[in-house]
Amino acid sequence: MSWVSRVVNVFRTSRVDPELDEELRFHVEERTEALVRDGLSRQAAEALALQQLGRPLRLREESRDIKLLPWLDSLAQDIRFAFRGLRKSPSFAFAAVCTLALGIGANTAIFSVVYAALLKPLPYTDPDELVAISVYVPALQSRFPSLAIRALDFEAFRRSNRVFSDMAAIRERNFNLTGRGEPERLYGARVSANLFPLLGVQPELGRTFLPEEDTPGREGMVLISHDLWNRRFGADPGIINRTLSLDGQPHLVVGVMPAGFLFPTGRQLNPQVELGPRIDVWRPAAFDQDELEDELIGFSWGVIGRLKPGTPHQVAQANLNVIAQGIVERLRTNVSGLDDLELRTLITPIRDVYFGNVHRGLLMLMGAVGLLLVIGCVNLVNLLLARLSSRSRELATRAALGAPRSRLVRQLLTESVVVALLGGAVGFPIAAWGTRVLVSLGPSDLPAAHATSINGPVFLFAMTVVFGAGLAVGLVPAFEMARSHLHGNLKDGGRGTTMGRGSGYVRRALVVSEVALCAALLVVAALLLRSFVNLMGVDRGFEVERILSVDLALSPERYQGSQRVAFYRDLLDNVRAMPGVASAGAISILPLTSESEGHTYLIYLEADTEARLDRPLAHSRAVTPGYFAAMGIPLAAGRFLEAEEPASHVVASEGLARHLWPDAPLSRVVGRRIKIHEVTDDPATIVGVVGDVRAAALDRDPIPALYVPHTRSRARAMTVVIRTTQDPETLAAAVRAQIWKRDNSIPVETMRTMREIVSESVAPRQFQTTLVLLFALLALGLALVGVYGVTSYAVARRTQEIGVRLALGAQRSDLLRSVLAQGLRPVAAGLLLGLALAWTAATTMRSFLFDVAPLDPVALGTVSAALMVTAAMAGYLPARRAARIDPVVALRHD
Amino acid sequence: MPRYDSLHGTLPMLVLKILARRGRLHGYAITTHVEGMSSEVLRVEEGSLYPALHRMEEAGWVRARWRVTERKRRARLYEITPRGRRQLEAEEVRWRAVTSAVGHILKHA
Repeated sequence: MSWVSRVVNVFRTSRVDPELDEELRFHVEERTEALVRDGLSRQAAEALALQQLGRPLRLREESRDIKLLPWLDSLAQDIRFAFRGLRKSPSFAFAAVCTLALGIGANTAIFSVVYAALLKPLPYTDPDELVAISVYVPALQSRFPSLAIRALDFEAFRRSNRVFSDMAAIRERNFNLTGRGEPERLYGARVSANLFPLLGVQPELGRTFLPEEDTPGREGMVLISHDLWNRRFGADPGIINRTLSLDGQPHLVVGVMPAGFLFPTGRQLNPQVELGPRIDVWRPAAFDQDELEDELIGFSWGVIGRLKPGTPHQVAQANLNVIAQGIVERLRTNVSGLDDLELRTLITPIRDVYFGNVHRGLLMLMGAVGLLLVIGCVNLVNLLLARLSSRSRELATRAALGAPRSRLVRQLLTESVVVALLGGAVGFPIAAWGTRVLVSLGPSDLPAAHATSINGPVFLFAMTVVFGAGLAVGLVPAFEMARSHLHGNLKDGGRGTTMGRGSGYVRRALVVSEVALCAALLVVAALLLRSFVNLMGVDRGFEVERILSVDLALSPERYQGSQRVAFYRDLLDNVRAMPGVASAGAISILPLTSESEGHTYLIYLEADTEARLDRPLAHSRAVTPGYFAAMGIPLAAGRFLEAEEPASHVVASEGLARHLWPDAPLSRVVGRRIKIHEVTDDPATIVGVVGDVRAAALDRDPIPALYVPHTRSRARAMTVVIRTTQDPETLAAAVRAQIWKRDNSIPVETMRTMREIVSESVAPRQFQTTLVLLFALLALGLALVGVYGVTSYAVARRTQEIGVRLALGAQRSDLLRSVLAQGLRPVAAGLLLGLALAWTAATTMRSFLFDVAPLDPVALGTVSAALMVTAAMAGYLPARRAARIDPVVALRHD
Repeated sequence: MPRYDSLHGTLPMLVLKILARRGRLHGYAITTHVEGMSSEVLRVEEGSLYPALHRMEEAGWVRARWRVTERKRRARLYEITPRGRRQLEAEEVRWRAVTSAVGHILKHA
């Protein structure tokens, strides 16, 4: 009977007992009949029959006990044996438990993040019905995969669709908070009043917005975040109905959102909607007249909708596309030259909004850490096999004493599960610690903040891994033992001849698979590392050393047109005069920061009279004099913008110039005229051409750029960049003092060096690369231990044979070579297999690679060489031991 | 996994022997046969017969089925299996070895 039915029996006693009862009753009745026939009265006969049977109740218990108690008893015995065995070989126990603890810990830590990102339900009501809605223009899709939505289009979508129960619009609206305390830059959002009921989220305190508050003139109110409430207002419940001065305007606080309220940040909702890194305040959207009427502004709203239950995304998309078609037709009647314009809608599950960009990276990490565990397990199988052969006498003795083979098999499985449980016990704190490390070291887009605790599903995962690993690891040796001849072992019990053919084959196969997995992981790690190195060495178009950047946002009330220009001019003049400053300038959007494809325009030739979608799309950036010098962006032709530059003068990037005039030398571009955004606009004159800059991301090609004098733009938020002659951090305090000397109501929050900005922009890649590299190196370590173990074992088994050979005059160097070759053959086979595996893996993760082919010879060569050399070293130690064997000792060796 | 150790001993061997010789029997009949066969020297502790039968069933030495007897009563009938026969042979060999060893020792004592 299998142990499963045994366990079932405990719970199903009712099925067993009536049968037993009936059997016993039959016995008693038969006995009674016999006794009656012998002459006893029925009553006396019954009493005697019962007495002879013994107490039926006890009998019944005993019978049932058969099924469970001895089993539990022998299990306890197996576990005791397992512990005793481990105590007897502490180094084996240590190696086994450490290997598993590492594997289980690392897997659980990564899984807890994977769970938070990809599996855990989002904290909304029926999150599966929630989607983000955006639009795209097929002709521009390669550059802008998804565009934000205009307020008037949002209204059209909301009004006319048949598939959504509700929709809400969201866009950024940051404020300067002034009044009591230091001025502070608050990150905020304008949101439709129905957003909160749509998401199904209640405020912690107060209320959310009323529908009538979603109108211009009534929107002077905010909800604040739990974090801001704590940080700035000491969690004072009296905050409700207080007024805050935001950008100089009074705003009534109507509610506090709960801690952990999940809301999009950065560009999660839409690449065009640049929300802050956190959200402090929400204000009603309250579309104004301009937003609802002007056809050409305001592609700037992100939209979240709740689908009617059971609506497939394609159906919803098709319905919205019909509405979008109507929008395009209206656009065409108002704007000429849009004949080839098409507008389509795109629906994204809300989970992808938050975690879509980390999805693949996390799966890659999960794969890598899973491989690590598999390699660890393979190693352990090897250790267990070695142990099995050294224990063959013990096992043979037990078999001879009557222990059935199945019992011995179970003993081995129990041992490996016990080892796995110990590994799990040690691995669990590692997992908790690892999760915390992931949180603190991970890039900001890692959904780690939601993964700080080990929860139920994660625990379940860990236990599955523990038992899975325990049983998997135990199966091979158990199988090995089941098919071996134990009695034979009793006779020669590990006496050393060349190792048994079967067992040696299994062990070499294990080394092959271990090395293959390790090689694949190493190649992937090497490709990622090469990508990272290439990325850091790529021509960025600007410099990073000794540059300090300061984000400034002037409040619109105090700084109108000329005041703003004057502020930056005076501030920069003063900063340039500071000791240690080489040059200084400012730009509206610094490369690699908020990137925001915002302020991107179609650039037309002067001769164009109609809008054309095949003209280049360029970033338009407002710059002050000194910006290019401070950033180290080289001049290719013409000149930089100067202090009193006419508003119609611009500087183009090389990429833009080439795109517009593919055949003209750059020097000939200077003086040519272009039209920005509108074919009806007055043309601007290019006075200079500067180098291309990788502004969006280091791993993306430079985007064409147009630099306009800051006098022309209306940008009040600028980033000041200062090139220093010393460590830029030392100037931070002095620069802040300079700013506050002019106006102490300006919040100065982020001062970062260019080096920090670059590092942050590659943080997710660096993080992935580091982890995969770490896992790969650990895997290499494990594989080397495996090679060492198998070679040592082979030497130990062959001691006597080696002794014979030496006695017969074999050369020690030949022996060394033979043992080493025997150890390295499976390594070479594993390496070949691993390279094939790596090629498959690398082609599926092509998107993670930068400037490296999946079959990069450098990576493949380095990994192969490193693996063979280290494996040779691991195999050399036991091989040398073999060559030094004293033949006399070896021949006596038992 | 069965506890083989509890199957070693005289009772299972006797039961197997009886079943091998008599075919299908219910528990009560086994009791009477054991008593008859060993001239009631080896009186079966009836309480221990059923646990033993169940263990042997688990070990696959005997097979049990519910049948209706001539007197229209449901009885559980036991029957020896091929494995049981092999076991019986092995046990008998062992038994003979032990008894001859004992005889040998007694002779030289």
